[in-house]
Amino acid sequence: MNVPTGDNSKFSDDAIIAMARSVEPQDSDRIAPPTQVWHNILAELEVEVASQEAAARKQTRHPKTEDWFSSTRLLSIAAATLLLVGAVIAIVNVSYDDSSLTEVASAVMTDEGLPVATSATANARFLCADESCFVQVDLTALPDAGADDLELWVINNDVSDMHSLGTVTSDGRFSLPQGVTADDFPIVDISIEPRDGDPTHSGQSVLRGSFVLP
Amino acid sequence: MSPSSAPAVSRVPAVLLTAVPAANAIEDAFRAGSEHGLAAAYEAHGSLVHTLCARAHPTTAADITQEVFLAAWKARDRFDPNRGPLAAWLVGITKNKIVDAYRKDGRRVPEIFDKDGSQVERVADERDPVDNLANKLLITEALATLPERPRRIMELAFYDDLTHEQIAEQTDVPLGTVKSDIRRGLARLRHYLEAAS
Repeated sequence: MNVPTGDNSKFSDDAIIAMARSVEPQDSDRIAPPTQVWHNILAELEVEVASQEAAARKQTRHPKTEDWFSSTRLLSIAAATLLLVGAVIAIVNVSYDDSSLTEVASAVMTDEGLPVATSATANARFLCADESCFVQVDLTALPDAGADDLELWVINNDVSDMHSLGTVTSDGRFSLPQGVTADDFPIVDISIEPRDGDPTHSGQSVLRGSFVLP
Repeated sequence: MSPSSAPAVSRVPAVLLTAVPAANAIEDAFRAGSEHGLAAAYEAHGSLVHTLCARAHPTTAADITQEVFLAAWKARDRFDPNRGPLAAWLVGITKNKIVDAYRKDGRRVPEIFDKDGSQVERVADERDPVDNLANKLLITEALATLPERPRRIMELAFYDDLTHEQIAEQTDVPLGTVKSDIRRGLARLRHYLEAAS
């Protein structure tokens, strides 16, 4: 195979190809852990929390810290493991050094499940100041678009509506049209767009994430 | 905020209709210490971790799997999604726990874990056999995350040992696309391998 060697790291292209060629069919097989393992993990954490609570009771001030691993919570977590696939979990991350800005939502963008693969990932933040909002994109690297452009989009949940926010050439802020909310346009997407005069989305998405609201 | 009055886009590419993957949500929840984060990580990656344990240290595989998730949960602040996927980070922890288990046994790590044992080689570092097995599992894990076309192209290049030209011919995919799929696919694999090393 005529693949150029990427670099001198331990995982040069040649090294990865050699490793991949040593993969055997059995390496794709997965062995599920016995059910007991998960019960043991929960039990261990419960013991830990119980001892922390006991230690806390010895002090006059009872700290209201992480008590979520109580017995009732543990039951709900055990049940949740059965329901988790596809679950979307909210994460709140309200922190921005510019005090006039509010972080409305954030998204981690990866190429998972997309037609174009990249090792780059990005963090997208939906930020608002008064009436105007924008998306701040921070990339680990710029995905390879060859001679084409990278374009940033926000898309609604049923993909019936989307807005182009502009061409991505580096990390940056992209203004949002008035009235576009993270609620209504929760999908943030970077696509590879050929310079063919067609302003619609090419379908060649390379990075995507979902805005998660507090 | 007022509802959007933007016009609908006339052509919606079919590819956009695929569901947004939940992997990021799992990683975010795990890192944030959300109550479902650990359960989600275990659900998604428990089998990968346990497979590595079961093949590398079969006698105490379940115990090591348990230790890995407890250790990972305690160290969740140190997981950085920018450095690689959660699966690879967990594999990194698993490798350490397996080597620890051999040290506790007072045993040397076997040189190769393959069933037939026919290609036993002397190794300089006791970690090498664990690394080699972990890397092979990570490669299959990373390939499984690729979309259909690049995955098929990578498999033809790796397992069937075809040249780029042969792959293009066999799959009817343009040569340039084959090359860029392989380049990006290798980058994805490197991302997994580096994050676990």
